[in-house]
Amino acid sequence: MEKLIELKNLYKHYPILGGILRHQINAVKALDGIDLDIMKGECLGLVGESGCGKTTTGKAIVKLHEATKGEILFHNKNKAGKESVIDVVPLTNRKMKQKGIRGKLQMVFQDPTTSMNPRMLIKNIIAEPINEQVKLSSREMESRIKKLLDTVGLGGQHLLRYPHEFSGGQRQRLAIARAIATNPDFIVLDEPTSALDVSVQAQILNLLKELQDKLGMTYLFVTHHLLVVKYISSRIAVMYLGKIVEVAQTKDLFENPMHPYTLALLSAIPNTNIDKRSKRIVLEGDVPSPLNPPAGCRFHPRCPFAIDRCRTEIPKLEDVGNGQLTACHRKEDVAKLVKDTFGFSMKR
Amino acid sequence: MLENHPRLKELRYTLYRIFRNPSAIIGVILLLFFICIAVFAPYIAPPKDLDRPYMMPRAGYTITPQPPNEKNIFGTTEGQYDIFYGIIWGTRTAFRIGLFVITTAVIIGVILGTLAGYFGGKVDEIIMRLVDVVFAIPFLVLAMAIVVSFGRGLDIIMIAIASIAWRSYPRVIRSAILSVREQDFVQAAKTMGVSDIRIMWRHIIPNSIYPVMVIAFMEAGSVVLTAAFMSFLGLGAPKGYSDWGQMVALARNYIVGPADDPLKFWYTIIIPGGAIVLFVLAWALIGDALRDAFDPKIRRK
Amino acid sequence: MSTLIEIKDLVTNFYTYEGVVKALNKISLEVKKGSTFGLVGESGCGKSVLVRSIMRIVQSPGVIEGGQVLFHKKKNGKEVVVDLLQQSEEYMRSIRGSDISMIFQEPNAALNPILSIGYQVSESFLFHVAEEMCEKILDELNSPNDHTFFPIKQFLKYTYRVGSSDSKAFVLKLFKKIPFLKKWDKRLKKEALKRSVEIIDKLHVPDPEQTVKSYPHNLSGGMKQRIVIAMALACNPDLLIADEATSNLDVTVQAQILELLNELKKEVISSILLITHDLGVVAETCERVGVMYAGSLCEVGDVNEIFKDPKHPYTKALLRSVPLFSNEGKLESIEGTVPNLVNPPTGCRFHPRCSLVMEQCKQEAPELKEVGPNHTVACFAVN
Repeated sequence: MEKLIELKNLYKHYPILGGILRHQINAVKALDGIDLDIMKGECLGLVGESGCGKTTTGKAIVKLHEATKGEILFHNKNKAGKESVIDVVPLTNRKMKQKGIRGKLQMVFQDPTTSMNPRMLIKNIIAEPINEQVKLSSREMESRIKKLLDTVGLGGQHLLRYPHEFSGGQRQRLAIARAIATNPDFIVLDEPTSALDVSVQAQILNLLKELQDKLGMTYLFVTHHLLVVKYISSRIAVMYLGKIVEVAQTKDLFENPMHPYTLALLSAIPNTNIDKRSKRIVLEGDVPSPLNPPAGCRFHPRCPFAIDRCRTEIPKLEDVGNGQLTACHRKEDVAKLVKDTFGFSMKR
Repeated sequence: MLENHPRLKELRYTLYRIFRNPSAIIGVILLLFFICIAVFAPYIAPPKDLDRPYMMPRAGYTITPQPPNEKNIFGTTEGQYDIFYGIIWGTRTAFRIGLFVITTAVIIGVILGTLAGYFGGKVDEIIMRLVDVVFAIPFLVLAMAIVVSFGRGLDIIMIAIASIAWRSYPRVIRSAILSVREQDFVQAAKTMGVSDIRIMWRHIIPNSIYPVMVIAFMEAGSVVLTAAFMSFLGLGAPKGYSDWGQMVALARNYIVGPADDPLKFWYTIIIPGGAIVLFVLAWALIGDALRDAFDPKIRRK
Repeated sequence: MSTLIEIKDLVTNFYTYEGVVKALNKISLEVKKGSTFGLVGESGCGKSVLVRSIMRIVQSPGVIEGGQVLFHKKKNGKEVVVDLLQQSEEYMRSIRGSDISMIFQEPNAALNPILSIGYQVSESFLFHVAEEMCEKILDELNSPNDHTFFPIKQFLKYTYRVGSSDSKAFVLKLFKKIPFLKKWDKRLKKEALKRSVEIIDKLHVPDPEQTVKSYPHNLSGGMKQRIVIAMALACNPDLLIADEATSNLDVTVQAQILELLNELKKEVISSILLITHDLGVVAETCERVGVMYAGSLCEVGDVNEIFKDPKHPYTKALLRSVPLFSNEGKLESIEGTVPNLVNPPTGCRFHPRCSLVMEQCKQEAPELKEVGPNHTVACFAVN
């Protein structure tokens, strides 16, 4: 598989100013050195709890946040077929439009109520991204919008309506229609189903899967809901406090998690299967603040298996063999440790 | 088809919210009343001198005001200027002042406030400090300085008021913008590559303009009050001009009549003063009702 | 197990600009003592309206229009059955917080940011169990170990004697206005604070002594939710209602809170009414489940039954449309959308989206009928 986007050593620090001269005294380290490859055509899930930096990562790729340091390499193929690798970090919106890549990196937001201007008709909402790229006559535009609405399952809707006249699920479909209007290569989906009713979630997830197959797009699916990401992603990356701790194929992650944090996350999911309930690892304490992350391995204060090395040395994200990456000093022993400490085996 | 056009439905809902308030109904009726008078002024009080319709006709040259009689329905003020004529044409003057000043002030204020709120940083600092400076200027001193430099006249006063009146709007719209610009739909527009100006015009301003509208309505009336005050001091319209403030100025010596009949010249003060009060009240009531109607928390339950 | 609270044919309507929203359509259910009852349903189905109707805190334009809420209250050793809908507001105020407590989704909204944690948790004690605390202090004052200066001691004995029979007595309020005398309740507040520390400690909040002095913004989300639970449990309520209490929390924190609730069930609380849209949470903590749709109850039963063998078409469809650990296949979404409750569908409110719809479903609303032990379903196709 080819790479579509490569994140290299990405940092995003929000400076905190203080003192008389308002110089920087500290920083919120939202992203603290991320290395991640996103393959063409895949759906990569990015999971973690609040404050881990997953939303920041997604927004950094679509340039809603300016990265402090590092590279975001986008493998672009222009209209003539020529391939090139462009670093998106130093570019402005205008430069991206000139290079023709602004429309290729798009985003779908969490709350469909606030992600569309409540005072604009949906006709204009969907026409807006198209207008930035080409000038179409009003009839051409209308037919293009109607086709887009058809693709997302809203065919036959009146264009002269406001977003609040639609239900939550329909609004999210509109947001998706707007995101695909410019034929993007890559879409960041930031918790697209979290604000929706449970029965509508399935509709949206199935729609997203269908669109990915039909239009050949690549997704970065950011969420904290592990079961949703299991359904839709082929590969999952787990983040904790600004760093990536594990990356694996979905099946491998759920059956054979290698990082203690992943293990805790998985065991914290409420399980509806009454028979197959196993014991849980309940972590102590809360997620620490990204202002002063712990030294060494970020997870060591809450890790049941921490040793001295974990308190001083930051573990690197390394391959354990089958393409599964994990950042833990004790990765070889984790399975045994779990069995000894908690009395159950990790393989589910 | 037209029935179901979404913009009309929104308008109907807004009108419903405005008119739930009885004070709004009173305000609208008053305002409509004034608008009618202003529009039909030439018919209600035909001007004697077609070149200068705003000058009040004089029923003589005696100083003492005359009480209401058949010829002058509201009586006359000092110098025998017809009060009725002055009230009718003064309505037009009042609207001219109000609309000119408020429109100018809103345009300047919204532009500056939007630039400050949207861009933040240094632009924000500079504009807001400018606004602070303008806030510190004592209005009366400025007005007198302008009159001394450029001479008296209603137009001069309108420009003087407009040059100060814009100062409330930047702060108001800036605070609305600070929350609107973080909303997802603005972020979405940025990912689509929409230019900053278009974002400000299409997304930011329409969603933050409500508090500005409310304040604009409420100030429209008080601007007229300020102009009246200026005229009262003798800085505004020339003597005999149909301006309510000017008329109150003419009645300066007759606010309290002779010792045995202190209310003898009530009509010189009460009638123009009453017109000012009702005018300001109309705008204030509507502004109040607009604020309730546009409050987003109550709006859609 | 005996009944704690029984709801019969509850009807609540909202009078809005767009019309009358028929939020609750004759709901009947029963919560037994010592059990956890989970109420699931999508947003708009009326679960929050239901619990607010029980507590009588429905926001306008909502009006409770019919039915009964029978609460089995223990009073002086005897058990009394009270219809909460018929009681005065003052009675309800005495019930809320001491007999029935409620916790909400957003801990930030439940905590006042400018008051210390200790103050807020003590409030509950000071309002509901002031008399008991006064008696305790009176005993302390009368004991031989007490060495307070004599005149002050007499004064305090008087105030606390009055307080132990009626903490809201006029005399005590009067004393609050007089400069030196207004300090009479210092001991009372100290006692309340002590109890606050105890209950916060019970909820596994680290360093409770320090916590009571700090403010909400010093705490993380999980901690704040624990404080909110502490406030709710301060007076040992018979029923704790949790309205989406864990929906805003991270998954690991949610696990902590759910484990905590399970632990507390054994000692402090008698029954819990848990509202959520997350079926996993229900499976982990509840014994019985009620499924709601568009203002009506579809199915009620034991947790094992409902998850293994759901009978109502909506329950079945819901279980198939949610990603669960056990779900390997494709998620099946439910056709159609949640109905507008201004003009709800006639008869059974689920009929437009139901795969088993029959003529009868369009005309009559089905009643809950038993299909198994403790398992009731409201569906014509099943019965």
